[in-house]
Amino acid sequence: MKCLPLSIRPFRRTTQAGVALLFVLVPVLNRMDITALSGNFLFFNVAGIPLADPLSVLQAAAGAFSVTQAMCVGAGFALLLALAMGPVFCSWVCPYGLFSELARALGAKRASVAPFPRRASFAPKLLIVCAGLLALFLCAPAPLLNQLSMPGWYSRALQHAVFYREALAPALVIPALLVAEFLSGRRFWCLYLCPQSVLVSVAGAMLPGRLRVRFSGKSCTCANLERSCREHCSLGLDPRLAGIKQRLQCSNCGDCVDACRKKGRALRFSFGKDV
Amino acid sequence: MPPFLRPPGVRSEKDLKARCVSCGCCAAVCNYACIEMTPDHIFFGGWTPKIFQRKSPCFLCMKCSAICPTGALRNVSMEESGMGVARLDRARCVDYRKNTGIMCWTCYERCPLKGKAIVLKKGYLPEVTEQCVGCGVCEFVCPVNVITVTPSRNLPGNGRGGRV
Repeated sequence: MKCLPLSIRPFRRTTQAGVALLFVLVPVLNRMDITALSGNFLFFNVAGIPLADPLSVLQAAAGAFSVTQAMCVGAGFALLLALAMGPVFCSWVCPYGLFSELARALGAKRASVAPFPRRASFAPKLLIVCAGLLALFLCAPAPLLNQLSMPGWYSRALQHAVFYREALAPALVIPALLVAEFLSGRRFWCLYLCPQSVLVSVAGAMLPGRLRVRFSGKSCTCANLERSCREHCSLGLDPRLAGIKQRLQCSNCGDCVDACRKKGRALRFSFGKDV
Repeated sequence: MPPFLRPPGVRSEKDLKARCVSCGCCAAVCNYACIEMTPDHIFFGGWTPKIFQRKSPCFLCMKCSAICPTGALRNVSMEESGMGVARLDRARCVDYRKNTGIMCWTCYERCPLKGKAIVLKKGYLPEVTEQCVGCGVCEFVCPVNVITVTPSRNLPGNGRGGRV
């Protein structure tokens, strides 16, 4: 008897919750004069090692026509991770992704949303990034796209609350979006609007052999109309398909692999070329 | 918005706004919690570091400029902070007024660059020198509010060591 492979979701939820909690603790530690960790989701400093949102770095570099070593290392690390493992930041790290998944799951139950969500679309995000960068060159006084970073607002709101004992009003956009996603049962921010996911998605699409979900037709035991894997994909992708569209949009959350693990185990994470 | 300074090592205002990604590392490491991240513009501005010197001035610990990852704040020494320039209104300063019987010297005593940025002329009259970097401590501590710091962004050449 074969034993079932471990479910991925508990590990992913633990990681997401751990990161969300970390950004509650960081400003508290900072106020206790422990500053080995500092910053937020736009730029984070771990004992001198920088980690950065590549889009915020791109904007700072484009605005000032110069880069620092920390900017290169911070953004480079995030892009290398995406190059090897896809945009895992979105599904394993981003706290907004966690809240959005929960809101969507609750909303889908409540509103009886059609089982197949609309297809994810990359074009609106790309358009937002291009418009933001163009504005930066033409007239904008500051990196505008940082104002659209939901993990950024999450961590900045926590910094503000701890440092200045004040609520950060613009961060209310997060609960507003979550309520909208709950009511609609769709993750429309991550699907269509989030500009921060664009660069990591593009990096993730560069290498066809990077870690991703691969489908083996021989093992699939589902009938044509039964698509348990697709029903479980919160982004509405069909994990059985390969190609650039999949590589751009799949964030390697592993929900489809979990859905398939009690069936034919036709979906697995692996490196290398497509079957 | 009340008068404010930029943290030590500040570049020109335009350069600071372009480079700052609002990470808040400078505010996190500030020993005196004097750096506040507030918006520059209600809609389009980034959230950049500010020091409201009348609330909490900068004591030039220089941790913020050392940690800034994007170079919005240059990693410089205390003497090169370039935050602004203090002006002392001698007509209202108690040390300059005759027959008061007061030797205040609070600004001189509390200046992080004591003996350099503020010296005692003739041994008893405080005077702001060319070496003032505009940290705002003197403005904060002055008991008769006769010191005002002009931020470097309002100085000719938009700061960078510019002097009036």
